[in-house]
Amino acid sequence: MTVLSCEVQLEDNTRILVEGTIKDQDNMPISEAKISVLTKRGNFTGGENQYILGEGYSNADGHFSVISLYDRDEDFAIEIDGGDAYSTYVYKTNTLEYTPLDLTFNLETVSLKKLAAFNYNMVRTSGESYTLRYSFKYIEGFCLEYYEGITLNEFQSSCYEERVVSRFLNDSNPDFEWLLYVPLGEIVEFTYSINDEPEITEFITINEDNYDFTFTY
Amino acid sequence: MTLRSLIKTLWLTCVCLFCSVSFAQENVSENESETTSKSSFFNSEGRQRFFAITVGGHKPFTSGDNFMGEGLEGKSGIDFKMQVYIYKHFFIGLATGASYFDVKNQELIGSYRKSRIAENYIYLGYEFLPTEKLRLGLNISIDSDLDYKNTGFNTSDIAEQHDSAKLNRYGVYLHYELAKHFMIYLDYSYNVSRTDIEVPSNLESFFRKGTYSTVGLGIVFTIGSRDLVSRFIN
Repeated sequence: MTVLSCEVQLEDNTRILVEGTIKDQDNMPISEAKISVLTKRGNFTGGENQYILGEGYSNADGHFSVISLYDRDEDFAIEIDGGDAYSTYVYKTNTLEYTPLDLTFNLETVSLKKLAAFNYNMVRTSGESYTLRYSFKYIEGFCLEYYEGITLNEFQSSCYEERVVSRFLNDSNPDFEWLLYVPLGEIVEFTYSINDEPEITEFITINEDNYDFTFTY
Repeated sequence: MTLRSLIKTLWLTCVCLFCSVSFAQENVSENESETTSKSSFFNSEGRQRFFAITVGGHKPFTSGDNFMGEGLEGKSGIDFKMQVYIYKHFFIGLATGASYFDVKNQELIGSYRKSRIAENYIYLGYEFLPTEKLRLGLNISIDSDLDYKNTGFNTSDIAEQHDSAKLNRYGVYLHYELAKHFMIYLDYSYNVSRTDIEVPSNLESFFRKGTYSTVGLGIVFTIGSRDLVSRFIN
């Protein structure tokens, strides 16, 4: 009887080098950012059933050089995570079709955006039966670039895209509080309607590391 | 046939031979004990042996500016060796064993926590006789096969990854005779592992060879009192 237990078969007798430099939008180096070499990561902000092949951190100059195992897979990724303070960058490619020259993935300079914590709080003060329908349109602090060989495929990439979160508050859920991480300096578009009246839009410039926003209705 | 399977086959053959010679030895031991004893540092007819089997353990120590010295830390190991004295105290041997390591720096070698090297090699050597109870052996590997099995990933979906290498091994041992055919041993070896790992060109020197030493302890059984050539000539 054959037991098929191993889903991922790594390349024997192979190591790759992943290198580059991480800077913020002011061209300052970012140290202690975590670099992960992954397979089967998926395309979303958080990885799913990802497998770690190699890990390392950027140094004080923002430079990183990580030696990793290798997997030939259609979902091969290098993730750069600057923690809560910075956006996340993901390089993706299909290593079934592409292995770089000299087994080196040189990402050159990767720019991460500084993130601010946008903490919004919806509070009902006008009594029962009042409703609020609202949405926040914001730029997500996440950039995934998909490469076919050395060519960027913009169609399969998803870099600092607009996201919308919306909610309807009523007697069942009159209040709501949530936290979003938004690139510092970006504008959040807040649209709301009280008791299904015409929508009103406000623009909020995120100019603090911790931005608290409270809306009462 | 790989060196590994060849060594396993030879091992089985040698074990069978060991058993048959052991049995035969009972019949000739009386005659052999009457052999005139001429002892020196290089040779002693009275202390000549035909076969030796050693079983023991060792502690590996990684060293050097290479993937083993910087990335691995030795934990333990096991050794099985069988050597035949071809002519006087010149011998050829087969060895199979394993060395176990923990990964101390994943950033330098990859995200796994443990590495086991399966070691199979053929060696040549010579045994000196410095005192009545001691045997001092020097040996060097002549052909080898190393298999690194790397395990301990963040998920059980990756069971293992393998690297392969050839071994240059330089060894020295001391056997202390507790009885005519039973000894304990202490050995040291310096090992250079020449890997087949494909890496970027600027990592070639780091991965092309790994160095580690071993210090081992174990027991030795011997049989026979004549070397292989003497058995045919005399």
